Amino acid sequence: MLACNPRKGSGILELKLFSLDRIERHIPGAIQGDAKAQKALYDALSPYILGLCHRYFPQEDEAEDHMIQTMITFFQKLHTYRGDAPVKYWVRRMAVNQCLMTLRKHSAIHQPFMNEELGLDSLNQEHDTAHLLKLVQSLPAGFRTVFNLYAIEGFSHAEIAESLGISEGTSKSQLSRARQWLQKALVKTESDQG
Amino acid sequence: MKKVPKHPVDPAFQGRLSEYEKSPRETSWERIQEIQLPADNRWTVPELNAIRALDELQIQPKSDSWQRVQAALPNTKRLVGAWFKWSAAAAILLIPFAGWWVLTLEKEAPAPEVHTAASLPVPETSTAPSKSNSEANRTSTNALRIEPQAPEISIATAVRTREQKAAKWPLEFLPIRLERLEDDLVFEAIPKAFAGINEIEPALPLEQPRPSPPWLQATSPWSRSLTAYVATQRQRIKNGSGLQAPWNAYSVSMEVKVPQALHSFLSNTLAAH
Repeated sequence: MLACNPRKGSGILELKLFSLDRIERHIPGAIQGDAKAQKALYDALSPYILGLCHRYFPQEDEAEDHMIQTMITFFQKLHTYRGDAPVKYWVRRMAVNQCLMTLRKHSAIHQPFMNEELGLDSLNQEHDTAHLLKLVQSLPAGFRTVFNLYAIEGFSHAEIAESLGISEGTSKSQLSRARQWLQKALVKTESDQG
Repeated sequence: MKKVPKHPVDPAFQGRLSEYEKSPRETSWERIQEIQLPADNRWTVPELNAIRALDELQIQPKSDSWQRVQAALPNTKRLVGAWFKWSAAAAILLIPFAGWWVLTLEKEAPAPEVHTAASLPVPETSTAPSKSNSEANRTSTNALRIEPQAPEISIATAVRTREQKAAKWPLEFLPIRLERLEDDLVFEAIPKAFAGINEIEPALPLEQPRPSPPWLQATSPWSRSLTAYVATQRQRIKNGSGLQAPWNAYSVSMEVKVPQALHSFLSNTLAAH
């Protein structure tokens, strides 16, 4: 599993390997309030959640705040975890809901996205995960949110429309625009690298 | 097939308007295409790679993030541990205090008097120096007040020892015991211990039959009833008719003043017979 650390001195995201396997064994202890078990779960899940939050919030502090709030909610509701799905996906849905709660309050997500300008010039030309993250982060809030929810989280347009308070047509339109822009950016990156 | 109008139309006007065309704006087709295109149309390979990479994205949080999370969590285990620690500390402080308190109470309280049967005041018999029966009874009553436990006297041990008789318990004890129903049946009623009786009889084991005392005569109703019953049964045995049943065909009623515990025991025992 890939991981990147954007806080390295060179600014280049460092890729690491993480594993979320066998973290379920810490759940009983974490429910009982064992700090070691909670720390183990935090160490395993927080990078994953922070990566998710970074896709919705380009600002580092904002993403970190949402990750922390998600982890707090996760530990508070951990006793309700039934084990039907891996805990990774359970906490992932919490993180998405946490991000959407904030995004619904943002006025940018309700603005007409069609006229927004997309700047490709500011993108890093490295074609790696960090570059892709920057590509997505460079999208306007509406595009970015719809793209994340549809392409990565697997939401339907109806669910996106309900979550963001927009119409399904708007969701489809924004996704299409985001894809067009991302395709252009990816082609441009490949051509530059080639 | 072109529709033929039923009414006449102006050819010039029809020609101009029917052939009128105007190009739409460039954005119109894009907007139609965006809506009409299936949103889940196939992703391109670069798109899929990007989505997979973004899906697996992990970023290490700041070092102080865990402290922020931990500060917001109620640490149950920590609270339980603190509770046990404080409880243990309180117990450590309280146990010596409780020990000191108990020792203090023991020192202050007078030593309890132990009264045994031997320690009870034994009134003198007739050969003893003069001491009135009332005094003896009072002494015995005082002893009972100090040691409120009632003497354990059962039917089987109804024959009291010399010391017990001498103690003169203020009880009207009148047990009845039927030894055997045989030819040489000896009906025995164990003499009651009247308070104030000075005569002392030697203690005899229950197994040894003894003659009825002179005070047990066939004058009282219950005595006559028992005597009649015994006589009847003896006659039936001689005739080979067997014993008459049930036993409760004959009833004996009497009034006995005994302690509560002994009363229950006697009631159960008599009811069983």
